[in-house]
Amino acid sequence: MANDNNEIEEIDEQVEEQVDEEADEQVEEQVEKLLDEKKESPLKDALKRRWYRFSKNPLSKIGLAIALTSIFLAIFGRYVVPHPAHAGLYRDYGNKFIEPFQTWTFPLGTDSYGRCVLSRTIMGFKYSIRMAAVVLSLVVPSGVVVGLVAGYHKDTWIDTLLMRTSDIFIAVPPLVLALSITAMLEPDPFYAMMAVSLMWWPWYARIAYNNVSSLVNEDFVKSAEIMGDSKLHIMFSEILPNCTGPILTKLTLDVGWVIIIGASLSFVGLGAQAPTPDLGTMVADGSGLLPTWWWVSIFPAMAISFIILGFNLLGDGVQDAFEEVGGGS
Amino acid sequence: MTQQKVLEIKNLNVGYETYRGVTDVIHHLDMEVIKKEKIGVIGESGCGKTTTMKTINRILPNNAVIKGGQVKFNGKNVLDMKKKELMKLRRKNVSMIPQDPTASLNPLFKVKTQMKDILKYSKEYDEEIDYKAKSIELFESVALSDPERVYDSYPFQLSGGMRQRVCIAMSLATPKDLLIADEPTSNLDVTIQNQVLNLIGNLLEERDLSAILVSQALGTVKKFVDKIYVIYAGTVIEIAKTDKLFSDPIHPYTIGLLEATPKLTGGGFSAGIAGQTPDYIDPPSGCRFRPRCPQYSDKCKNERPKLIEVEKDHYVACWGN
Amino acid sequence: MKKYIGKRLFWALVALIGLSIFIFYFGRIIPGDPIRMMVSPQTPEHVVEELRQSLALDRPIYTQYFIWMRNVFQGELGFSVYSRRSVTVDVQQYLPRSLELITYAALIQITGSFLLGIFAGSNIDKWQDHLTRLFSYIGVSVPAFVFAIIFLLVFSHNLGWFPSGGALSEGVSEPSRITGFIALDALLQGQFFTIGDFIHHATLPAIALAIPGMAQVARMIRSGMITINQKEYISMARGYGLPERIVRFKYLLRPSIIPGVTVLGMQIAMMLGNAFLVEMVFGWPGFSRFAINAMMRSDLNTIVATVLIIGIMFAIINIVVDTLVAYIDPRIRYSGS
Repeated sequence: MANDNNEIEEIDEQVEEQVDEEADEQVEEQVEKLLDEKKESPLKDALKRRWYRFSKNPLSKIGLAIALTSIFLAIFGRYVVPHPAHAGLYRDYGNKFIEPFQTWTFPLGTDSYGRCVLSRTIMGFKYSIRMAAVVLSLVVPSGVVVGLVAGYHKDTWIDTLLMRTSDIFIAVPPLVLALSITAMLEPDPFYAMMAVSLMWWPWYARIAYNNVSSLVNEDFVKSAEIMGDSKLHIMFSEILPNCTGPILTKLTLDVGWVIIIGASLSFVGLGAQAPTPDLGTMVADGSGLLPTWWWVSIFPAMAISFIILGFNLLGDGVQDAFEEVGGGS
Repeated sequence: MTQQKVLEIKNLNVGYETYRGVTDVIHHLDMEVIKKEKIGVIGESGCGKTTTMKTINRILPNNAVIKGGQVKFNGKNVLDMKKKELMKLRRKNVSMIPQDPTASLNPLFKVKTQMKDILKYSKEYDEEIDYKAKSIELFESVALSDPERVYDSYPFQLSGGMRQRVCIAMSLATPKDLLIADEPTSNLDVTIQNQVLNLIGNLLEERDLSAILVSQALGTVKKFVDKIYVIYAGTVIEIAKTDKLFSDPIHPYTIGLLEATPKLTGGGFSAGIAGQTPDYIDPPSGCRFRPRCPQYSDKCKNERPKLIEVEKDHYVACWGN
Repeated sequence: MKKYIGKRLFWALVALIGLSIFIFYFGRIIPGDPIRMMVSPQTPEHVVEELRQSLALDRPIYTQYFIWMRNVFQGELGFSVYSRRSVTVDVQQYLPRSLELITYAALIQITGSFLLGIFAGSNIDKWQDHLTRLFSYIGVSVPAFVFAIIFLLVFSHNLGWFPSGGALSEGVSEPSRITGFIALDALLQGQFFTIGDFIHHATLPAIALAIPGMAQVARMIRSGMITINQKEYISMARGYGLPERIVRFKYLLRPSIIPGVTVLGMQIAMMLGNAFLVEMVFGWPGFSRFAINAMMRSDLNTIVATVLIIGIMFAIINIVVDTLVAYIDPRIRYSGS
């Protein structure tokens, strides 16, 4: 078990780095888009057009704000909550089941151990965001590479082998396979992440594959081939940039999906275990206290929905930004 | 005023909402069609021909903004029409042959379904009529071979030329006052272009309709029209009888167009005039053709040239005269 | 068309076989002795060994797989450590209950998503549209198990409109088994009170299952209608003077729903997964709840059987949807054959 904990910490660190990067990238993108008010290069013009399409819908900006807030809380949660000690095994039976909105010390009330529901909920952001960050940073690159390779070798045995193998992992709903695999191993967030990753990469393989197979016969690919560019160069420098839009859209929307699956696994009891303030686990534990002590489960449940809502709104915005709409003349 | 005006467009301004703001495409445009007259509308792609045509029966896309002006059809302003009047206008008065027949036929329905609905809702025929017989009659009138098969096909099972003939048949399903053909051949193979053009020409002759023929190339419409409107960047820059325009063009743009059209089939004609159509977000002040004009003065920069009748039935909008 | 479906069936079968190999191997290579899980700790060693041999667990994994596969084709899914009987029996007992729930939920989902999507798509940027979009955002963002808990809290505990668990009230006995489906069996035997009671119990879980997908599909149909509305053939249809209702509900609707129908199939398939959570919250005596309990006890045979059964249902749903889409869109129908 000690071994596992080490591993988790390692992943923790990696994730925090990734989350940081993600946030940075988003901010950078935004600044870039905001800065170039004057149209100069076609690239900047394109970015500006994207930002216009993205920001035309105020909901996209709300989504961006929620997503950034969630990422912030995931990283710095334990420094901003009133009771960081309540994250683990903490007992204060004198304060148990305080109703929400009664005292400033426990704004959202306390649970059966007297722990602050607000603090635990905020500290729970980390586990949901970590789930999404780890899973997506594993599946997006691997899926895209598989899809690129298969699409570039369309109608050869490489295509068949890769794409039919990927079909195996999407032959059942992701939750069912994730449940089964995690159940065969041990209930543990690490296994949960691996199980979800295992059945998520095929979706990215499919997106990349579909885009590539429609691009392979385009002139710019053909001309690169005639110029004698290497296959690797063509795949990654010529073809990949053309599938950024759909991949980015899918990625943003998938944050929500992965968080739902992760929370579902925890809810069933196959994710993080009891004292951990994982949102799914908290909902599951609190659901036994319904209806009297409803706040113990309802607030974490609302937090999950809040994060997912944010990334869905953001994803819609990204989709708007990359969608090509034909205008009349 | 003995001649009855079928269509009269006055001072029309239309733009589109885009990410950079609202464009200013159609700019103080005037046009009129007298009963049984056939006019040609000529201009480069992107000069607002289609926009103008779509304003006439109000089928502009959602992001279009009509900023002002009048489009009078038989004396009634189309832009003020209520839904019911508009429907009547579309059914009885104006018909349109589209630019891209492939995009203009619903891909999920058989030709017969689409044809039947047009006939049925035209309210021109009794409920009892045999839609199939009527459709096939229409198909024969547009010289479609094997009309039976066409009638029972999906659009994607037909060739481009056949699709355009189907579209023409649809637009002629009921007798109309005005026929608009919006670059009807631009999406067809070169070999079929002349066939379709001649077909439209014959139909115009036979039915003696008022018509607007839109094209990028002067040569294409020459044979069929009485009068030509030359449009540049959303404004009319020259109007003349067909022969007059060819023999005695005045506007530098028209001259450029004529010099650049040696062939009947068109294509690549604008090579004769350097530059391209302006940015509609921030169009040039004064005369919109100024940046491409070989001889312009300060006046061209400051004031919009109005159409002036330089001789009978010949109008030009240029300060150079 | 037949060739198209045949091809889909073939590849679905290949994927299912691949899946069964994967899950079977995965179950055998993880640490833990399946025999030890089956028997009590006091069982003498020679009995364990005998059992191991009789179940062929001493043979190489691929041999075990072929033996297992042969048994599956004979309808024998193996012994469940959890229920202490054949998984086949458990499947027969519990699966109909889940299928009933999912069918009910699918009906709610299909009706709801089409009504909402068309309602919003026909009133773009009006209050109907905004309301539907708000609903879709909630539907997409709230996990099914959260819906289940909130519904339970509000409509069952607080308002008392619906029972809080089970498939039938106490004192209402199950109809004698003909097909295994309660509603169908009760109908065949004319026990209408039982049907009513069953529907009363099934409604909350079915809605909780239906809502997330309903929101998604409604959104797809809405955006489909927006996209298609910009097509030239729709302007032209208006230009020919066709009445707005014909343009909208005939020429616009049919191409607009294609992406929605594709997603609808995926969402119905997703319900197979969400059923695991919803059945748990509502104590619905279905296969998913049984499977969850078996999973928590690392009951390998049940896990493998569950994945396989759900995989088969998933494949059937996908093929039905593809066929449906091909029916709606003649271009697919004609290019496939």
